[in-house]
Amino acid sequence: MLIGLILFPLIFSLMIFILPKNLTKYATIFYSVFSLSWMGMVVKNISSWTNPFFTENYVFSSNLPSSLLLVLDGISLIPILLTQLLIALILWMLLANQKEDKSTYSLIALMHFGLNGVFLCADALGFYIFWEVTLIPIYFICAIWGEGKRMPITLKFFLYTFIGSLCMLVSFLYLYQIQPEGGNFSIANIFNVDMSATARFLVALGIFIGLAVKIPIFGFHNWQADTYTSAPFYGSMLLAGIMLKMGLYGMYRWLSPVFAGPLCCDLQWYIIILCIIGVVYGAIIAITQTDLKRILAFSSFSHVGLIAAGIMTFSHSGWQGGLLQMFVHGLNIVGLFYIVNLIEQKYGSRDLNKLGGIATQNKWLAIYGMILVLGTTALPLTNGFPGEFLLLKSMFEYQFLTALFAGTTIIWCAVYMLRLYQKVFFGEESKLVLSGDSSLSSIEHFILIIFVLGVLVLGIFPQLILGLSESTVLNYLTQK
Amino acid sequence: MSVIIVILLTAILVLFLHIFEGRQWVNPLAILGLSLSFIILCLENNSLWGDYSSMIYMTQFAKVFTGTAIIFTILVFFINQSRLKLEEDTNNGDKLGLVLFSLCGAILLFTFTNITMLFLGIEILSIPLYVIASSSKHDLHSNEAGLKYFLMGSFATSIILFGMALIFGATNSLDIMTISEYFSQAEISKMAALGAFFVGIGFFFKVAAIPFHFWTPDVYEGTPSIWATYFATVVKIASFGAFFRLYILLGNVDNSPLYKVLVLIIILTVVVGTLTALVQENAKRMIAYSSIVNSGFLLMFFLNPSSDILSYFGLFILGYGLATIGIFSAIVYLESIGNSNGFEGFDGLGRSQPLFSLGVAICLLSLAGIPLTVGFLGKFYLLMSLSFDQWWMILLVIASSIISIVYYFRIFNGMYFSNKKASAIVAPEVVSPYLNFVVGFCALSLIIIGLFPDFYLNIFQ
Repeated sequence: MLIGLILFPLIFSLMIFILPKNLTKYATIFYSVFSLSWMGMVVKNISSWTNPFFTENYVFSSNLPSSLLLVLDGISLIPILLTQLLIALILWMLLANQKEDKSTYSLIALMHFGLNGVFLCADALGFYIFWEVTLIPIYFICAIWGEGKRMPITLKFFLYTFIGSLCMLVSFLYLYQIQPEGGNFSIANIFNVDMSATARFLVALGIFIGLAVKIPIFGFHNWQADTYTSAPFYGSMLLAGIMLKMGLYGMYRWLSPVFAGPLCCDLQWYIIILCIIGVVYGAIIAITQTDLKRILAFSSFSHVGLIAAGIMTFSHSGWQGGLLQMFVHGLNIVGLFYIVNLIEQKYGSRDLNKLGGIATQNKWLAIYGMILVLGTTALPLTNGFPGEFLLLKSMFEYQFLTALFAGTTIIWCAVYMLRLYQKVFFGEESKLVLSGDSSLSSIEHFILIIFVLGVLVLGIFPQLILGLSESTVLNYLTQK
Repeated sequence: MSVIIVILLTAILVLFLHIFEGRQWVNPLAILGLSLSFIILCLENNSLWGDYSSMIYMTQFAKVFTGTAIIFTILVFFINQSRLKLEEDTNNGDKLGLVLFSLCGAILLFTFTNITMLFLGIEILSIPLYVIASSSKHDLHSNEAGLKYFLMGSFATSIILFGMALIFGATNSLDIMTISEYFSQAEISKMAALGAFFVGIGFFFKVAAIPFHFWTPDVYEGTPSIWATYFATVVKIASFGAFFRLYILLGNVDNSPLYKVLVLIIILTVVVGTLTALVQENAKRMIAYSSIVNSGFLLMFFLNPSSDILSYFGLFILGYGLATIGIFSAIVYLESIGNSNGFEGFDGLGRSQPLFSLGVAICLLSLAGIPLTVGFLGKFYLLMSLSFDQWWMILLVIASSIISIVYYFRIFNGMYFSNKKASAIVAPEVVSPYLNFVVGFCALSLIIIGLFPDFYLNIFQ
């Protein structure tokens, strides 16, 4: 069952090279529909909603103290759902853009393979391997199809994440080595050890650095804006929509079990402070930017800071809100990146000062854009609201002062998002907009409607997502 | 023993075939002979080869290393075959013969049980190589490489010999078991300690650990690339195989006089090697420094020797060797179409030869230690073998791995992401099928063994 989620992307990514070029399109459509329906089947087969839904174990090597242990529970179900949905959407966007390069589809499928592995694997070594595997396709995507000074930027991104993940690997190795004879890397064993407070602190720090670079948390974020800007649009989507969730997911699964003891309590406080600084800092920078992609990059940085802070409170509302917001943020940011891509494609620029008045030319794009912007600013009855509410609630329960600063996120977000919207869609039509092509094809409508439906439906029924993880989160938190 | 005999016979046949009009058959014959010896090796039982005064002993470790060395040599000969298509080489038979002779020396280094055999092995391995290094007669660099390799190599050998003499003086035996027993005592004489120290220094020369590494980049650069492949892989394996056995046998690791020197040299090798590799402008020199850094990693396995370590050590060296052969075949290809050895020679290779460069890319990723390759597993096992008391060693591995990304990816980036119109794009020469085979073989085995290491690791048991 679960192994299918890992195997099919890998098979597709190799197969697409063999297939003749004119079949690429059909193969991609088949693949995206197939992976969605396979996911649907997995969800349908869940019989009891208690932890965990499915466990599968495949032993690869008797010499490695590790196996391919796949676990699906409430916490992994949400990012897995998000991954399947977004990958399918991104593939459709590429098809809508008439992108014909086989290797793009192959790399995205390889990415899909790595991401599914990260979210499913409950073995520390396997997790690390999948974590690194995702780095290769994104490196290629950014370096081949990127723009601007892409080489140094991509290398910087690669080095940042590689340094972070090696820190994580050392922590895992330590956790393995202090086990008594016959231990292994599975999640049940690796955290079931006695450590001194200092060791615990160092291990937690190592894992945190690995995750923090990916998220990114303030202080580890230097690569982010440049990479998002120079990457092609689907690269930014993969980075902001899904890869970033790897870090957040890692906090639930791999960071929270080591957190105990006084030193870790301090660490928790510092991490939350960093997250909150990121929330405010990202928002302020976003306000001053004029490149649409950079605004989205910093807005994403700011939003994710709040999610990470909520998770780090280890409270019920923080965890549930974090999971919901992970899903919602993925959906919204990818939708917004798509709109930016459409604007760039049709009008030839993504500079705020060169755009304006799109609403009069292309009213559908303006409507879709409005709904997504409102979703991101967490207006009640849009999908951003419930998650943000839960996260802020958890912040209040943790400490008033942090909540005070974190709470400003809604104001900041409204400022930069509405500024963006106003400058792009309203006002005098700029030269570029007048000369551009202002029509949307039916497939573009179709893709955008999916995002808009996501904003509205999840805004009214957040329980659709929250219900999936409820029992698992309760279970996890009572164990802690 | 039949393995060595078959290889020797092949070498002699090759030499003769070369004299009589059979030049085009020389290379296939050498490959055939090596394949035969590999099959014989697989069928052979582990036994004391008693006919030779119990001086050589085929252990399982020796068997795996011998097999690896034979396979690497076959791959080198395949690369050589690609060259023969392009140019007339009247001395090919001599070169192949010499390489085969030196391979016999390598096998002795895996199997010796007597330090006389060790010395013989080193000499048989090295002397043909001094000739091979300068085999490009009219190239000044090749001559320089040959002379340098000869001087450095003979110094190293004589230092080893001096150390052996001291050990013999202290233990009154040449048999490795007796010596090992002596070294496992709590107190050993100063003479023996000094002997072990000198043998160690000699081997540090041979495996190119810093500060005894100065010959490596020059020799790799000056030697014709095909034979530099042999230097970087088979010779490395042979020296390390012998050194590792010797180090384990000299026993009593904590008291070992070599231990402190070893730690110092590892740190120097990894730090200086990594930093120097970073500033190289020539792909062959970069590979030379990368091989020095890998020597440092391999020396780290010596710190905590145990029975499991042998197989991990083998896995690491296998990953290193396969990846290096893959990259060297790219260099050979680039030289054949007239590109320079600088990094810019690789520019645009990904577009002109997509499949070939995919293989090279996998080799680079493996060297850099990216998961799903043997290179990752090797580094993983290396980290596992270090205990957390040696945390500074772990830090060293991590830091070096990170920096190594930068210099391996210079080739990688040039191949795939360069916009420059380099000559690799202009010259659409096809890659010889032999080179394609070698790169494909290396890349596939790196991935397959990287996914299923049991294939390889279980042979050691």
